[in-house]
Amino acid sequence: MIIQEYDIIVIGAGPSGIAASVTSALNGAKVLIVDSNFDTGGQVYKPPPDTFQEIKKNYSTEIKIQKYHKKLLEEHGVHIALEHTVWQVSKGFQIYAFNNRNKKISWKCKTLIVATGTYERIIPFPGWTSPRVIGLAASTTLLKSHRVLPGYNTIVAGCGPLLAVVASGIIKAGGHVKAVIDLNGPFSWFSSISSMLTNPSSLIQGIGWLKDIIFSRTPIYFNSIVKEVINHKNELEINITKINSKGLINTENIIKINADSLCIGHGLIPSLDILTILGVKKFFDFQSASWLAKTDKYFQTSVNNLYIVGDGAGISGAVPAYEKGLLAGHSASLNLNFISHKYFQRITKKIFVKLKKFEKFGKSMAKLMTPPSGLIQNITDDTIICRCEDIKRGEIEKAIKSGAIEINQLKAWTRCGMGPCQGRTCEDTIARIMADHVGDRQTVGMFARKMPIKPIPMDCAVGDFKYEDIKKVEEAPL
Amino acid sequence: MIKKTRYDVVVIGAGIMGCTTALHLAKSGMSTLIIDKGKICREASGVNAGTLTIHMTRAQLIPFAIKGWELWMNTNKWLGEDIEIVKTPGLCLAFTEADEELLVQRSKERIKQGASIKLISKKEALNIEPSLSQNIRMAAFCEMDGFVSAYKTGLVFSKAFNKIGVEVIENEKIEIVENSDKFFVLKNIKNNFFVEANNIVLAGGVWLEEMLKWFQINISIKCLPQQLIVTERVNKILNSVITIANGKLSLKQFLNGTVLIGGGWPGLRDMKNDKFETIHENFIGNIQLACYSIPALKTSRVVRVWGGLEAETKDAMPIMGQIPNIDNAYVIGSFHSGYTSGPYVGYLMAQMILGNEQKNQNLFSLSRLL
Repeated sequence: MIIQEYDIIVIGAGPSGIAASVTSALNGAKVLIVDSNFDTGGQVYKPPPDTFQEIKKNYSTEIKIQKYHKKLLEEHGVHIALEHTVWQVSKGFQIYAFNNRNKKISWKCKTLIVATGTYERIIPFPGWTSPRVIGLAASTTLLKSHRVLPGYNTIVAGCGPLLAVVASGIIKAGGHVKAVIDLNGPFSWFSSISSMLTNPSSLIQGIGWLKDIIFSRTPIYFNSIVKEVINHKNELEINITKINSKGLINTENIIKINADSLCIGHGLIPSLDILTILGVKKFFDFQSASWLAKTDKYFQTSVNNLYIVGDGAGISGAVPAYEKGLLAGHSASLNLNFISHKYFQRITKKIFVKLKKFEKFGKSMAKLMTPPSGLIQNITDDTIICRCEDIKRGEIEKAIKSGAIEINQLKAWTRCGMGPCQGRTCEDTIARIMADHVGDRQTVGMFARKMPIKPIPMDCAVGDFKYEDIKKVEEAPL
Repeated sequence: MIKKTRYDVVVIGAGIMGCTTALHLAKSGMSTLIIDKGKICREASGVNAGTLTIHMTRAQLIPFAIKGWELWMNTNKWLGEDIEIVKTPGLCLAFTEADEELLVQRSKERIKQGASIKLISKKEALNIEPSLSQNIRMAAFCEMDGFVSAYKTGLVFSKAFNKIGVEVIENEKIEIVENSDKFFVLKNIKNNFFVEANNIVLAGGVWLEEMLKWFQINISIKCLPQQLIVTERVNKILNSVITIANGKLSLKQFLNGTVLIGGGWPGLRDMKNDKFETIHENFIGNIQLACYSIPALKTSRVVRVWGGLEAETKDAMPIMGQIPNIDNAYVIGSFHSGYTSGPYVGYLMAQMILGNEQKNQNLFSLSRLL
């Protein structure tokens, strides 16, 4: 296996990762940016593949930004490793990845900048694992990159700005949105407008989304949730009901709507997998109801020369993510003596001003994405929580009663979180359920993260080998 | 919160040995408390491969492993709970001439100690386990094999303790043990935790070295951080437990389809955070051996790699019995393949404390290491 060395490696080629790489390269560092997707852009600026010629010509703002960002990377000599999945990061920043042709590669760096973004939160309900029920964030990938509609008749449900993004995206692409089901009320949207005013471009974008939805006369159900989905042969029967401000179902009235697809999501969770493996200190952030890494104001973690940028450092959206990347890039360059302290002070001062301004809007949007804690109480005992291992709420409750008050003990006793998603899908829900019994999320804790960071194909990991090639170890005593 | 100020017995260390000892003592009527610095069965006893194989057991410990195996197969009788046990045959493979020699020699030693192992040809082995590699030359066969879902150990003991009335205190690290004439006082001053015990059992696995210092006993206990690997769920490819002649591989498929790969390949123990770290080359070596033995494994994906800490004394033999010169204080641990023999040696320990066990009294005595 060839090992290449870099000053700085950035994992994740979204806006923050790109900003960090370009800045560091501009400051003189030898930089590599790694991403598992086929192109740069991350989730927000995810482009269609090159083979989609016609669409690529028809530039959207997002594609324009993606192209501009990629040009920046190339112009500043940042090495780009696309279609590479990082599966292990060891101390001293040795990074192991495999590409889409199952070839292994390893790099080493002095500074590691993690820009792996977030993953999606879906609070389970009966039927959520049915085919044609997909996440809101996943739907944006379908719409933006794959250029496929989720269905002919779609219901869009959950909370936060992605509701409007997905609904408007479907309508624009010629699809039909049967209804939008919003956890929040209209009031919480209006209260976010004040922060939108600080950022005119976001405001215009937001108004655009709402315009699409209102003009298409899509019914919007506020303060409502999907109570259950029943999977019929060609159709989903979606039962909708009202909730109170705590998230609890407060009525027996149910509205039934049939559709062939449901896009649903309850916000985003910062991805801390790599950081946890490297032993970074974390804290539970009550505002966003998620764990975050402790960092300095330049996003350096408690482990020297390890940074977290973008939404992974706290959700505030793509625009501030870029500024976070710039700050980390400069701080990393300073630590490696590529720039002077004076220059660093001067340049970062300006970035902080911008970041503060952009974050206002992003943070108010993030607030809309945080589901109320009571929502968890609506989950019935026979609802699947861990979909990899088919573990239902009832089994989790039983294990808690038997004495599992810490999430890793619960994992061992029930197998929840042991499957191929490595706990990413169910951890938040399980922790919320446990916190209801134990009192707080700190006592419940987080799933221990182990390598591989992503499941690695065995044939790729073992490579071509003969019996003689296998490492010799001391034989077991007799 | 504990219910009493003094117990007939306090066991420190809630792994398989401590738990079985506590269980049997409580059954005999003693008021019993078990304390752990972490959660019940969350160290070696909860994270090991759960292999109940005779092919990997040290020859001298075979009689204990056989008794342990029998107890595992009937947990209902002594634990009052069912644990997910699968009884399968075990196959130990040889790939080279040197392997064959080793396999023959090791099997002989094990047979001498009472294991019913027989050597079989490649063809016979492939009949039992069709997914075996064509590269094998011969195998050793043992009817007595199988595995437990080790991660559920804590759950079944918790339930059993609830029924029998063993009190459990988790997350309490005992830091001081004082020995008055008639009883012991166990303390964690910072947490304001005090408890008195008429009898005390140290069952702290790799932490025994530290614990024995309470009684001014200094012996060295090596900590072997051992690597375990699990795949995602795959179609059924294994009917048996697979091991190899030199003992550096164990392979089996759980009922849910995941394949667990072990064999005691070393990792690193980060002492500061008490975390296990994988050694990259050892991860690759371990899975290469697994794929070489069962080629179909190559189409699976590895989902998780973790470690368990095995304790080893200077002569790699166990400790079990009274602590020299300290009345009513006992120690148990450092059994190689201790998870298999655990239920039996825990039972023996309890019998010793109750004064019912003479035969094995001095077999694994601590004094030999002083």
